[in-house]
Amino acid sequence: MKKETRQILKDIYKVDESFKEHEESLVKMIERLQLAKPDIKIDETFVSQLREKLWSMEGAGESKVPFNAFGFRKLAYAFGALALVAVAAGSIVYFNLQEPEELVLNTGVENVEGEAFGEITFSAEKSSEDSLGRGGGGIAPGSTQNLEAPLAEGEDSIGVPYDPKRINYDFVYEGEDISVGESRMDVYKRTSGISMGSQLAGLLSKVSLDVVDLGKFRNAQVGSLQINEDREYGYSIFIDPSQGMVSVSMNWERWPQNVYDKQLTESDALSDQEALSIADSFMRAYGISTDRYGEPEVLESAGYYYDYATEGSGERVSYVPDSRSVIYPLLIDGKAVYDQSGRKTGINVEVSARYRKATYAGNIFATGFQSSSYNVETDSEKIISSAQNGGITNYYRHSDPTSTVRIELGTPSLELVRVWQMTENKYLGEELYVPAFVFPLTDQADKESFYREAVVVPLVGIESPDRIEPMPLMDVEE
Amino acid sequence: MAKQSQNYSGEFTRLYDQYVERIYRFIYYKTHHKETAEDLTSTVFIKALEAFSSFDDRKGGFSGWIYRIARNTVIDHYRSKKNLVNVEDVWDLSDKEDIERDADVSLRLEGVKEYLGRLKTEQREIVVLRVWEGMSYKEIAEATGRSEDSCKMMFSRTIRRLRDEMPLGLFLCLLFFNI
Repeated sequence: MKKETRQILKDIYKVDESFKEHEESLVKMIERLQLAKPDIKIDETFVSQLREKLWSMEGAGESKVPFNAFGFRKLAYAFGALALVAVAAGSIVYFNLQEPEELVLNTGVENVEGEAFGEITFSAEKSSEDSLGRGGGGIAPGSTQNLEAPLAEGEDSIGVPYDPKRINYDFVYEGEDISVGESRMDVYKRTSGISMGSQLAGLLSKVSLDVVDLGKFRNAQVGSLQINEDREYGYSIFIDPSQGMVSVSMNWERWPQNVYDKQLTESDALSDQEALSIADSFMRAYGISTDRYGEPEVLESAGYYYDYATEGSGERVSYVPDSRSVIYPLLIDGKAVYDQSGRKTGINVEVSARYRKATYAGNIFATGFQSSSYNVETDSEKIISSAQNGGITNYYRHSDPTSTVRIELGTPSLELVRVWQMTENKYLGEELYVPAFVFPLTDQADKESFYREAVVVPLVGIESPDRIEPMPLMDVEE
Repeated sequence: MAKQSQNYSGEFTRLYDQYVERIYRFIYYKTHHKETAEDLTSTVFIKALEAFSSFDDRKGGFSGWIYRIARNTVIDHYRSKKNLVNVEDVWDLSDKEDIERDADVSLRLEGVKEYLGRLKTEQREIVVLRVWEGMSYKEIAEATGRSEDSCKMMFSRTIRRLRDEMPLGLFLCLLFFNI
């Protein structure tokens, strides 16, 4: 019996229990009625035309607010189905996105020949002391900690004694045996957003301003596009077709600023649940598609409330962050994308504890990917060895450490790591997504100052530091 | 609500998106004709927009308000066709009436049309809203201007009547073919 039928019967029985004697025939009758329901689909063209008609009435009537709530709410139009209907009114142009014209954007994965992205290599040099993987953060408000030691007279900054904690990390693999399985895997590269730029320019060419006719520009590309919502708590959308990227941020001019007057307390802190809920509502409200993304996660979970015992005074200072970051992890062919520090990457939504609203959403891709197969490292011992050296980010080992931290690594999962690869022709380099093993940290109790969430070992183009051979001495022929 | 709202048109826009399809279906059930349903749906939302500044959500939800406009619009439509005879929807018209209907709807309704047609307008309406639209009694009450209890009672009585009047042969057929 269908759920709807069961509910209908339940309601009927509440009124008159004698119906129960005829349940079998009632079920058949109700389901027959349900089957007789005409299959009615409303004509979308009619819906759009009526909406436009109402809009024109609205514009001529009481309200002077442009009927643009139809469009900006559907951010997906910006790169999936964007329409710009410009209504010139003096010097003001309202962008009404209500009747989308499809932009033909390829957001899928296109397979190209092997090794198409050139040689992929990662530096096998160990990190310098300046690029240690130490984390931490700012200083708590009110902290009396003095970071800058006063200079003695006649002493330059170089002479200031600086004695940080010198921590060495011992990465110990405690997971199960691993097997790569395949000798070739796909590497991915983001495709160009140039197509979007030219299509947007094509749409805008239909706009004729009083002072200039955009249609006269030839072979035009939209370099960037910003649209602001002119309403309280409105947002600004920024589209960068050249990179195929979109971001949405609060329109500062329309958000009240007096919320910054007070110091946040523990009761103001955003819980994970609340941050996720606000982010999700925002994504839905603006039609930001999450089709290519995994379940959202809150970054730095459980660490949002800190107590600092300040040196000397013993005073405890609380710090409640203004915002929490929610990540919708990017998935390519079902694999999650990590950055080199082992954090998932994707759409980043900032949720404000002061406004209880999302204030920013960035890293929204409006492009597709190319995939090209590459040989991958299949030697599990070499992979584990690389992980035990810190993976893609090697760690400097001090000769005189103040402490050594043991970090246990668990069984890895096969994912992708986002890397920048310099090319000969493009001085900006290219963003690639390389197959990688992501080793989770299984014992975080003693990971002093180590903020990374996983150790990442790319399976393409990395050399284990163990394999670095010293520069051979030149044979001098006698 | 809307009168004071700075987001007047945005709010109406949101409600339009939320209700346009439901109102269209509601009207279609009463007209069985696509173009007529579209014309009347347009009329409903234009009326609603014109009156939106006077809509007060403290007196009831938007759902009930827009459905009542839709019901009255359909009644006005048939009255204009029938010279003020009190007809409320297509079911009250004889097959000979000069009213356009979509052919495929007749086929779809084969088997239950006769029995739904025997019901009073308000009985049929409540069956349609409850069984086809899945509306709660609260929503139906707002849409029809009745109390929730009255809607529950009327629906139960209507179901009893349908069961009593559907011939045994139809039930055997339904049981046999497991429809």
